[in-house]
Formats: sequence, structure tokens, C-alpha cells
Amino acid sequence: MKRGVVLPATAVGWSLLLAFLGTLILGVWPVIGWVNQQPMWWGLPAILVWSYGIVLVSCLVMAWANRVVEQDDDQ
Amino acid sequence: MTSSLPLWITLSYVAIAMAIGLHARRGQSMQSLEQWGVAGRSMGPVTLYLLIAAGGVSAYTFMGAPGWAYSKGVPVFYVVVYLAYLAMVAWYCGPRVWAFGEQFGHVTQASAISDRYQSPFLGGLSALVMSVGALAYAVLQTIGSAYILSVMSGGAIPVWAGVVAVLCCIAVYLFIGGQRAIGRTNAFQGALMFSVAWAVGLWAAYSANGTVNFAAVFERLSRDHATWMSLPGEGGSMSFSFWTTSIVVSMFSFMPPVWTQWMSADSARTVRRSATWLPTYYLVILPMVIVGFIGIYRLPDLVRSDTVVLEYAMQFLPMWLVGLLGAGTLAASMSSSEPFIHSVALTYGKDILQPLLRLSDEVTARLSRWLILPLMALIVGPLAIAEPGSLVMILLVGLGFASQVLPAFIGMFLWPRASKTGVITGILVGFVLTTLFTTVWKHPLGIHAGFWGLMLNLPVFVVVSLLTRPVDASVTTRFFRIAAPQWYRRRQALGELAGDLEH
Repeated sequence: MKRGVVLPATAVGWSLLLAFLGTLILGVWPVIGWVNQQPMWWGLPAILVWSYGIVLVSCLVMAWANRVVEQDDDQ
Repeated sequence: MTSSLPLWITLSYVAIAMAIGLHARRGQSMQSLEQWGVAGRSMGPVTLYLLIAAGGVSAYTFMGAPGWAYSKGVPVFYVVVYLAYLAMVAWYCGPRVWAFGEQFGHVTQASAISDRYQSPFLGGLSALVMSVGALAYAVLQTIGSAYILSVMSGGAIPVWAGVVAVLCCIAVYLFIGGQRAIGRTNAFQGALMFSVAWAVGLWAAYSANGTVNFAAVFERLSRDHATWMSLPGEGGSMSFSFWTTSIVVSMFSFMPPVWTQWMSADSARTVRRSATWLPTYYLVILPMVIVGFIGIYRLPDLVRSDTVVLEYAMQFLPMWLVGLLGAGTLAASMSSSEPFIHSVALTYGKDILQPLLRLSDEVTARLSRWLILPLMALIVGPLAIAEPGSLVMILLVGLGFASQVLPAFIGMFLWPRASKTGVITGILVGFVLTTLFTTVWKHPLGIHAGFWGLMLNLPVFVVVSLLTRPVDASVTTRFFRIAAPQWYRRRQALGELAGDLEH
């Protein structure tokens, strides 16, 4: 038996991993290429709004992950 | 600048930072590495949030980032994105690093590496090479501090005197209070920076356009400076590939002070909660970048783009705000340089001198503490005064190395099979390629040099690990019980770990 790579052990764990990866994809090509083609949003460059949108999304994903982890800890 | 008000405000900040730093010790003995190095693992979520946030926000936020906005435009926002991702990496790794430290007594990044791979040589090597980038970073921040003092004093305080003054100030409270002093001063500096950045940004927007709405800035820019408003930016240097690879490389560059900061928390939950809200602090970058954008049309003939905020403030803002800007920028420089100096002293003592000279923990603690003085007097100070032209190159090479240590962390958090030889080989080939692509053939095909390094580093690391002897199973078991408890329990239930022990 070989020592495998650490992977999520539960469905919620997989959801968290996908949420983290999804957030990562939001900030890199090709998504950022699409954002770059957009006109101004609320009078601001689309890249600016998108960058701070990613800040918000990353906080929300981590806040959700905290709830999951802390529930697991409590159990 | 004729008024002395900005200088007095800046000096008042220095005095307050000193007082907070000296008070931070509060009767605690600093004779052990646990206390001087990681504040007795005592920091709560708010202090830790501001410690990491202020430590990560350097003079770059007040000078470099607005300079990028001024000269290139929106490419500067890659920094916001990678800092948010860095917080997510911290969310995953930070609590595990804290638990390693708490259970195995680690106080530095290199000591964790040394323990995981059962190799004091690998620990010492990573400590030594990581310190090159860390010291270059501290030198650049010290130069920034001295520059601010010089500007705020209208040239009355020469750069050499500014360097000496700032280093003396940091040395005193760092020696006396260690990580506790860094925590307290960073908390103050972090709050100051955030308030000052927004005050300056809003005032600048109002003075330029008669409204605090940032949209007015971009309405004007979109007419005459459209290339600043989308990638690849003015000058065309930020392609999609460079944006993407810069973010990926930066988010996996674990600098040693960050580990020490994680280990200073009072619990794993504290690290997780601080990391969760850490990205919100990076709103500090937005107003400063806006001033950079305003500078495009109000200061079109600047010689040095990174002086755009200071120049704008001195020409268009009230003197008291210029003083606060000086204090905020100085806070950014000091809050970034002191953790780096502290972590280098700590790792030189713990990971190089202790195993080399077989010192006791007590002697190592005393030695590490005293080491900040020669580090400042013989390396940081002289280099900051001399400002050698190769300094930025040294920093880039140092950061290039930091990005190539990734295999060591993969073996700590994700892959028990990673071997010492695999890690060393991966790091070496990645470092050589990154250095070549940073200094000789810069970022081929518009892809970040560090990313090229990782593309070679990671396959080599995996193949060599599989071909060489793994670390003793008792060690990996010890680490992965903490790093991946559910995964560990599941494999244990399936009976797979018995097989592992035989490998």
C-alpha cells in the first residue's frame, strides 16, 4: 500500500475543496480575460470591482468553511 | 516643504510605536524562544489579524502600488487578488502549523521542515537561503523608512541618520519585547495605516474632482488614458499569462515570518478566524491606488512613479494630512521590516547555530535575541545606507527561492510519501531555473519565472521522492494525524496505514 495524497474524506470536505478551487479560478485566466472585456461597472474598471469581489467571495468561503470545521470539532 | 508639522506628526508616531513596543513585554520573561519568538503562543484573533495584515502591507502599499497604478493602471490589482488567495492558503496551512508548533515545539518554519524530513541540514539550508530574501526585504523597507523621514523633514534628516534612527527604535523594542512587541506595534500600525490610507484617498479624490466618488476619477481616465483601464495595462507588460502565473507563484510563497506569526496564536481556531477576515484588510490598498490614478492627470510629469502619493499630498493636501501620510508610510515600512529581522535572528539561532554548536535551549534563546543587533548593525543598516544597485536583484532571487520551497510544504500537508531527497532536488532545480529566468532570460513567453521553476521543480520532486527512501513512518504519522485528521482516521479504519508503516 502506497502513501496516497491527502484528499477530502467527506462530501462536505469535497464541497469545500471545490469552493476554494472555484474562488481561485475566478481570479485567473480565462475568467479574468472575460472580465477584462467588460465595460465599466458602476463607473469603475471591471478588474477593480472583480478583484474586490474576489476578496468578498474568499471571506465568505472561509467563513462557511469555519462553520463546517467547527461543527466537526464539536462532534 | 516649509512646515515642520508633518515631521512632528511623523516623529510622534515613532514615539507612540516605541512606547507600545516597550510596554508589550509587561512583566513576561523573554528568556525562552517560546516567549521571545512566538509570544508564548498567546495572541487572540484581533491582534493576530492586525499582526499578519500590517506585516503583509509594506511600504509597497503607500509607494509601490500607487506607482504601479500611475505607470501601468489596473494590473496593480493582481496584488489584491493574490493577497486574498494567500489568506485562503493561510486558512488551510496556518492552523496546522500552529498545531505542529504547539505539539512538537517548533518556533520557526525551518524547524518544522527539519522535523518533518528528519534533516537538520535541510532545515539549516532553508533557514539560510530564506534569510537572503528576508534580509533584502528588511533592507528595502528600512530604506523606505529613511526616505520618508528625509521627505518629512524637508531633507534635514539625511538618509543615513534616518536608517540609524529607525533601526535603533526597532532594535530596542524588538530586543525587549520580541514577538509580543511586534504584535502590539503591528496592531497600532495596522489601524493607523488603514485610517490614513482612506483619509488620504478620499481627500485626494475630493480635491481632484470635487467628489469622494472614485468613479469620477475613472470617468476622466477612460476618455484620455484608456490603456490604463484594462489588461495588459499601459506599457503592455501584464498579459493574462503573467497575471495568472504571478498570482499562483505569489500565493504559494511562504515567507518565514508568516509561520512565526501563525505559531504566535493562542489556538488553531484563532488562526482560522484571523485568516478568514484577513482579505478585508486589503481594502487599504484601494484608496492609495486611487491616488496613483489621480496622479496620471494631475501630476503627468513625475520622474519616479513610486513617489506619486507623497508628491500629490505635498502639492494638494493639508499639512496635517501630509504628516499622517508620513506616519502611515513609516508604519507600513516598520511593520514589515521588524518581523523579517526578528524571524531571521530566530531561525539563525534555532536552525543553524543550535544544531551546529549543540547549544542548549536557554543559550539559543539568549543568542537569538542578541542576534538582532549584529544583523541590524552589520547587514541591514550598512546595506540600507549604501543602497547597492544589486539589492532588488538579491530580493528577487530570494523571493524566487521562497516560491520553490513549495515541495517541502506539500510533504507536510498533503503527501506523506515526499522524501528529503525529493524535496532538496526539487528545490535546487526549481531555484536554478527561477534564478536564470529572473536574471538572464526574464519571464520567457510572458510567464512568471517562479512558475517556470515550479513546472520543473514539482515533477522532479515527485519522481525523486518515489525513487528514494521515505521519511520514517512514525514521523509522517505524527504529522498527518494533525495535518489531515479525517483522512488519517479513514485510512486507519481501512487498515491502509499498517502498509504505510512498512514502506
